[in-house]
Amino acid sequence: MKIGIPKSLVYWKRPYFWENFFENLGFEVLLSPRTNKEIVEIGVKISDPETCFSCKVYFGHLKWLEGKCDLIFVPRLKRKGNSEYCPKFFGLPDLAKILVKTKILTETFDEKKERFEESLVKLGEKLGKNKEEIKEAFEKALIKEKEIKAKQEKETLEKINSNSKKIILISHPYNLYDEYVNLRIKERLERLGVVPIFIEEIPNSKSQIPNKFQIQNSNLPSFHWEFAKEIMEKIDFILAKKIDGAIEISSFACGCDAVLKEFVEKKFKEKNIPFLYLVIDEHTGEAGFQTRLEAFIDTIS
Amino acid sequence: MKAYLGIDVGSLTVKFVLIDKKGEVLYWNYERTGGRPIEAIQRELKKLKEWIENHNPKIEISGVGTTGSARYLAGVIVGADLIKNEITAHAKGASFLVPEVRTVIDIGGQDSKIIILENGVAVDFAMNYLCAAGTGSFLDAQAFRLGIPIEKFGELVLKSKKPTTIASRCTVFCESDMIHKQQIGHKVEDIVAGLCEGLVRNYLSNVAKGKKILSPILFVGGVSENVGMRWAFEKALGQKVIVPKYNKVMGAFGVALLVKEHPPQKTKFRGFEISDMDIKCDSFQCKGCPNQCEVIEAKMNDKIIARWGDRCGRWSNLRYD
Repeated sequence: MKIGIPKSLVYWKRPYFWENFFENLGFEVLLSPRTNKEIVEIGVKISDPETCFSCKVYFGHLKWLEGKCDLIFVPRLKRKGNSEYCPKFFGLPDLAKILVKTKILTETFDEKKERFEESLVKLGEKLGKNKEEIKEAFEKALIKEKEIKAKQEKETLEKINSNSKKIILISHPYNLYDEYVNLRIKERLERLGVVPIFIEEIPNSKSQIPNKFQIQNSNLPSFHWEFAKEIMEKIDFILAKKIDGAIEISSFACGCDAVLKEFVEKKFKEKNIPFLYLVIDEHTGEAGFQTRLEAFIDTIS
Repeated sequence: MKAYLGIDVGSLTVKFVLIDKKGEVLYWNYERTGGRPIEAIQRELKKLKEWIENHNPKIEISGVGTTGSARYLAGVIVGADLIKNEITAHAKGASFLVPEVRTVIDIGGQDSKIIILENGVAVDFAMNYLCAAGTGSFLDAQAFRLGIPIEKFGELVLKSKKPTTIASRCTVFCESDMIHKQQIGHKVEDIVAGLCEGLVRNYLSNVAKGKKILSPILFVGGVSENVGMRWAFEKALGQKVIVPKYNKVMGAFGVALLVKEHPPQKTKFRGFEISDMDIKCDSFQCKGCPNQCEVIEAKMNDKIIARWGDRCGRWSNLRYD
């Protein structure tokens, strides 16, 4: 049996985990390719125009997978502790069922009600596997994920502690890692002679954040959204280090970012760190994007 | 005599500034591109050549810089030593003329921007995105619709005694609102004054959102020619708004200054002959991957001089000399 995973949106939060988990269970995994023009065009065409750009891209990936596999995996992410995932993530499996003819494999992950592993067992059982097999597949996938993450975080910390000009890129993982969507911002910044650092690769264990920087959280609201909460915590960590500038990328019509942006900007402005806000969507012109980046790098040097 | 040339090719106009080694402007010009930027560059080069021959034949172009949204195209064609974004170029030009400047308001054909400076250096900026409301193109269209020559637009605004309120959120609604105001009998001068106020409101709430606007404030770009817009900015900000010399060509001036600061050993300028060459830009769709990038190809006398527009560098990284 072949399980398809759209390489978009929620995929990028745990890019190695899911494919590994299914492979460990003995399934063949088919990942959609990296986002390209065709995928975006299909996604934009079938989406409601009011939805965010990131969801449109996801739908394009779904369509690409349609008919190429037996099942398409679309998790329903609800809560992690008290904070919720974006409401659009709740509804993804339902929309997926309408959009494609291939059967959708889903499971609800509500970590306030149920531990992640328990939901995973339910998911594995749907595929006819027993608890032991699922547990083993999970642990193996977790070890692999941890290894990759540890390596990434080590490299990031080295970058942070280096003497080069550093720019922190603040966005959701599906914007940071999807080069088509972010117009290859990493490469563009490197060409301009600065070191881009992804906020996603900043260690997020609370123990790594010095205590004095946790206090700053007190003047901020506690964020309702999981992704936003995580970003704000990581910003406190990065502010304790020397950083030359910050760029926040939002996908057009992202409701979560509309709120988050003001707080992120405030954090950096308070420390007199140059801040640039970029919005991306299917119409984003490369020329205007490049102009802003070039001008921004000129302001920090 | 050494001289440095700055060229700013924007969405609607092309600007040329020639400076000497002290930064004094020797020559400047501002023309519409008429949608044909390459021809406009060639035409302007010819004019410059004639001017040099008639005024100071000893002038030798020692460096060329390009800026504006078509800076790459212009840079490839003329052979630029420096291709610089328009924010940095404007900041440079503005702070050269008014060293203590803190805010630059630049409104051009389809772009509007705000630049915040400290000690002569840009520290923050913003550009319009998603919407070109309030830029030169829109003012042009409205002046045309009302049958007012764009040069007379500002004078008319100053005649207004009771500017009417015009919705400024979106140019489409703005236009419907203007039509409505005409239909219920408002005077033309009150409507255009209201339009200027609306555009300034739009600029301050979209482009300049969250920025501290401190004096001295410089207003540059094609729209700064419009005294009506100057009036509306001063009214809304409650502060003096300075329209400096070379206001229409500030980007070209700035990029010329930047080239002068770091002059090349030998300029890459292709020479005035390019005015008479056959320069063409063509495009093709790359079939290398599903991205199907639209690759642009510039040819000079049938020889390819550059390609760009590809995401992966397959075409742009080739050498074409």
